Amino acid sequence: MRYMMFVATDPEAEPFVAEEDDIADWAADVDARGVHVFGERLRPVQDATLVRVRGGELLVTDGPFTESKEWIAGFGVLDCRDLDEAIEIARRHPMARFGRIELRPIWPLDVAEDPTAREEREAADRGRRTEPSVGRSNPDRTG
Amino acid sequence: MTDPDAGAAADAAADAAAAVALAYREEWTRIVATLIRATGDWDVAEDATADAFERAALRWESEGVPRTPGAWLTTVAKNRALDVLRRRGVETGKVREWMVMDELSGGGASDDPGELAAAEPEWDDRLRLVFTCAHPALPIESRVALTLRTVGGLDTGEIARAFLVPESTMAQRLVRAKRKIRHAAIPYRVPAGDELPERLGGVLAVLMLVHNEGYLASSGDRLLRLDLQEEAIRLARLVVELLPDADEARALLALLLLQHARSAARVDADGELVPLDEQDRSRWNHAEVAEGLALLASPSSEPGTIGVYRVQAEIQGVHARARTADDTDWARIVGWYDALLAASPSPVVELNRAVAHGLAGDTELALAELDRLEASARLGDHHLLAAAQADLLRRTGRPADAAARYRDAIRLAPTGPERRFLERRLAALDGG
Repeated sequence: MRYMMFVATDPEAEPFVAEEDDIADWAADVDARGVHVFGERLRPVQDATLVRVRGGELLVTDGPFTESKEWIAGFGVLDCRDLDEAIEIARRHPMARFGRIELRPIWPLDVAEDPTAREEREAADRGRRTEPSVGRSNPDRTG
Repeated sequence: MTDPDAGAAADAAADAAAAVALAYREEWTRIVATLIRATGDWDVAEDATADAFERAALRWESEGVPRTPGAWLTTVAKNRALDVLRRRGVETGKVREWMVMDELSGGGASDDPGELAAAEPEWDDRLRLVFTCAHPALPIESRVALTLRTVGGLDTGEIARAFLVPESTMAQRLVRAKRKIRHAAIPYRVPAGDELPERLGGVLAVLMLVHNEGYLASSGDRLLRLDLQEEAIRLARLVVELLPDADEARALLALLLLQHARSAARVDADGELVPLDEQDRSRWNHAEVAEGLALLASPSSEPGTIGVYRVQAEIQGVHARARTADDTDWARIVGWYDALLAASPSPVVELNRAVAHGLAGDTELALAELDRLEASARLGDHHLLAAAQADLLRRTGRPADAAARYRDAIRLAPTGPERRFLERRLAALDGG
């Protein structure tokens, strides 16, 4: 199971202390375990570029800037057994203390699949019945 | 039409219904938990298990109750699950293999043949289910709902009614939770060694929420919702059975039992609230009191550490041992609140400790503590703060100040019974 690990700043986090930044230990550990596929830090939002196409016209601007004090400072792709292992890895990343980490399951995309067919397949999956249908009651539990 | 035949048929129907109800209470969790592990599909597991009970309700009446109802239900549920998966085009060879292995090993085998070699303890499937339903990556209201639905076997409508939300809302909450379990790969596993205590705390917190919801409705006039309290006790018993060495689980069960024991005495014939010091203690459930106290009598498995549920249960234990309200050892209760404040500081605990100080005889200290708490604004406009101040002011002979605070408390009280209780206190003040 692969997870995208967004490493973000957080104004409510513990203040950064350089001596406590043990990212090298973390990196050595995840590499040894073979769970870290790829990751980097990111330049701040001031160096970001926004690209849009509207009505066929290219719009390139500086940004995006938000009022938010939380921005993505880096990322990593984890390949783990399950969410508990991903949490166990994320909790030991220094930015779990100095910022925060968001784990998102990677959602594989088969680019060769017809987009309409994909849409229908995933809608059917979302609508799958997960509860006994209405009117079919359980036996009386209390007797 | 012959009466003996009709009577026999009615008896058979009654026997079958009783056997199904009993099996539902005793077997639901185990069957669902095993099927989730075997199939990896929560919906198939729940549907197949529900289906097995429906068939039992039909068949046991005409064919008699089988000698081992649990085994009968498990076989029917397993076959049903395999049918559904096969019809869906799932390759069931592997599932069937696990099921056979499961029978050979008597249950509790790993969910992955490759993992059998790993030295994980062979946990009961029900414990995997309990931990997965209470996984911290799920929203808290989903943890509560999923625990009641899948571990507790309540149906969606029952849970929705207990939490005063529309059935569709509750169904959607359960669907989303199960979807997240699947999509985010929340494991079906009992957490390993060092993570276990932390995660167990999360499980117990879910049970406490179920209980609290039953103990005191956050709004409306239904002061006691016994079903949820009993459900919390039933679930806590299960956790204690599965993790007998967990002191905090035993303490939580004790806490729930000691509080539940007072249910009958807590409201009067008119449905009005009766405070602890005015309760008729002969109406307490003495079997539950005895069981709760017995759970507390066994020493903590981890000497030197004391958990928050242990402390709260000990406080209820002091009340339970007091033959009359006047016999209550308030000094001891103050001591437990000090311990609770050290372990888990909160303004509500400070409030309760101040009240205990007052009842231990130190009214001025109690009022000073409450004034500090009020000045800190950490409790906001809480009716219990105003009510506690009013009560202490009444005891110190300041009826005018007491009346003012009673009026504040009445204005802030969230439920009708609490409001009316405070109004009676205010009226008694005016009359006295």
